[in-house]
Amino acid sequence: MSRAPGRQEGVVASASALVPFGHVGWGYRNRAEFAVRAAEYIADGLDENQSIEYVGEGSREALRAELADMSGIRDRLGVSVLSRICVTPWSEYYRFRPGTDVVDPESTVHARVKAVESAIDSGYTGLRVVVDATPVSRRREQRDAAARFEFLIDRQLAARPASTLCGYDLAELGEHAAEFLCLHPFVSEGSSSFRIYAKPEADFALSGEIDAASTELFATALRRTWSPATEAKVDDNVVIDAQGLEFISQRQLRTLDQYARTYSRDIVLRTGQRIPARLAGVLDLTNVRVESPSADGQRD
Amino acid sequence: MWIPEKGPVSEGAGRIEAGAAEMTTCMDTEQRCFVHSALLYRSPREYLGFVVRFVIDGLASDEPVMVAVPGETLALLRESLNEIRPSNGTELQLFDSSEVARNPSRFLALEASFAEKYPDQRVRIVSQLVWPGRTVDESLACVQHEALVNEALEQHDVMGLCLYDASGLDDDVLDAARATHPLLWKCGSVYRSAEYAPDAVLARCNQPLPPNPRAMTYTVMTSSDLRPARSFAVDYAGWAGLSRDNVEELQLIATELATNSLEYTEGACQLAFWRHNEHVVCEARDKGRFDDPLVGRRHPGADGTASRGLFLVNAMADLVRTHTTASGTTIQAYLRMEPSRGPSG
Repeated sequence: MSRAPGRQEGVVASASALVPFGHVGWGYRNRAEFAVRAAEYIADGLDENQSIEYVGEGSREALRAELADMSGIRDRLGVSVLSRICVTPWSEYYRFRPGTDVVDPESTVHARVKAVESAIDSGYTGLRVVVDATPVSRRREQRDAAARFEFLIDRQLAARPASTLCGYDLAELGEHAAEFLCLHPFVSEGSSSFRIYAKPEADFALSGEIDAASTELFATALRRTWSPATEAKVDDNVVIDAQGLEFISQRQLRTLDQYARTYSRDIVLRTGQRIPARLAGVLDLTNVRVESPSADGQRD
Repeated sequence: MWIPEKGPVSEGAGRIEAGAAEMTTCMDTEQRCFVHSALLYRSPREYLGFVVRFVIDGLASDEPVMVAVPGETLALLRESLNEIRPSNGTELQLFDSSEVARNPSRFLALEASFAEKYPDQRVRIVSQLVWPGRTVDESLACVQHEALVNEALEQHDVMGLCLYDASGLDDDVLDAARATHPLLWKCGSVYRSAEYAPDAVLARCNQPLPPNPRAMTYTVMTSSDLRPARSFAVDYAGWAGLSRDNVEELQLIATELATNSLEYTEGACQLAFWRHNEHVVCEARDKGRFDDPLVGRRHPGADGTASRGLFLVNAMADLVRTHTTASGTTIQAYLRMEPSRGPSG
């Protein structure tokens, strides 16, 4: 787990100890695995006196039954805490484009920000949500919008007392699960080799390793995040905090350069790695500038 | 390019004179051509006098000049040139060849980029890639470069002068110089080399690279193996005591070599790592074959289709050796070990 300044990120083996907040994408193989991680995440939130919301497919009764079966909560905190957890069917949690099951990213983000404010007004230290995001990520026409929502909500989570565990059913989504998992600062093991997420003082952060195995995934993630990351900018520089970047191949650096050229932007890639700067020079990249992080921005 | 069978092509103690048959063809017409000549000098005085004259003549003719010679002679040359160079604004670029051509396989891109910077002008390039003290493997790579450059710069308007220390280099290196340069300077005149046979030299350079039995190996079957292969390289680098910079370079080299194998061949790539004197070697062995001997040596350009992976390996490594046959290709990238300045990995 990286402790780069501003926001933590990394690959995690469990959903516990992400306190007080931590936006995590979890690719689960079966419901039992999801329940274990949900319980870890919820129990920590209860300990922190956070407002807890559990979101999934099925009725409120079915969701309550799932919570009641989570021994990780019951054994640690007792049955009585279950009443402190709010349950919400996924169709009520998200806002949708009219007449579809395609997420309306901006409306949903707006609603979630209101929910955080409401939790604080009610005396909680923050809002913690466990949501199975599989239902809004299944079909091709849903995915661009769901990914945009993930990126936009992560920006809010980076700045507010709130966090979310987003579950993705690996069996159902297959390789598409990684398209969403890579948009979280924390991910489960084997989810995605790289991560794109929000970070202060940057338009987005890029961490992990990117090579030929992730060429298509990186291109897809960049296509989906470029617009929400840059559309409100008033200057031409797109700053990428890459202090958590462990490896990037020349193909992905060129992809960044091509994006910047296409949209008439200049990318500033801030990384302590020395190779990206050499690659940018050798390959004559025109719109990617590699900078070392400032002294107070070094990884500890 | 017409070259007389016998007798000097041009005379003038280093001056390339209009009127000499072969040079006239290039200099007095619009035809673009690469004049690839070598001087096998016997004394520092001969060296300095000839090179200074060659450079000054070029500058005086408004021909931009690039010089890449080893550091100690570069200083002498710079001093001499500063005293007498014409002030007409024609560019003179000076490089330390022990840096820019430490890996001879990356020098072609530098030469080509200098020539392409002046698409409507003739340029002059002076280079000394082999010097006493170069290892046998490095010298072989220099010979390979000199053989390949004949074809690679064929369409460029370049007057090339390559320097060889005839009193300090082995006979086989000097023989190779005669076999890779169509023109040789002697006593101020340039002659056609009777031994010129670059294809035969290239065939001799394609020497088998047997596996190192003590190497640590990792097989890359698919792109999902690239990440663990890098971890393996980092582990090896830690064991070998590589610096942080070296570790990053080794990761890149291993990744690019393996990715190149996966992209251009149908089988797996076996990576191997070992130490060789002051270098760490990263080897990639696959079932593919090189069809283009210049692959990885030309700058791929911003949107070009040439292999960037091998170009980057050449840019990072201090020596790259290749052996290719119909049944497979082996590439060995040598990385000079720098003193470790901190924890690796």
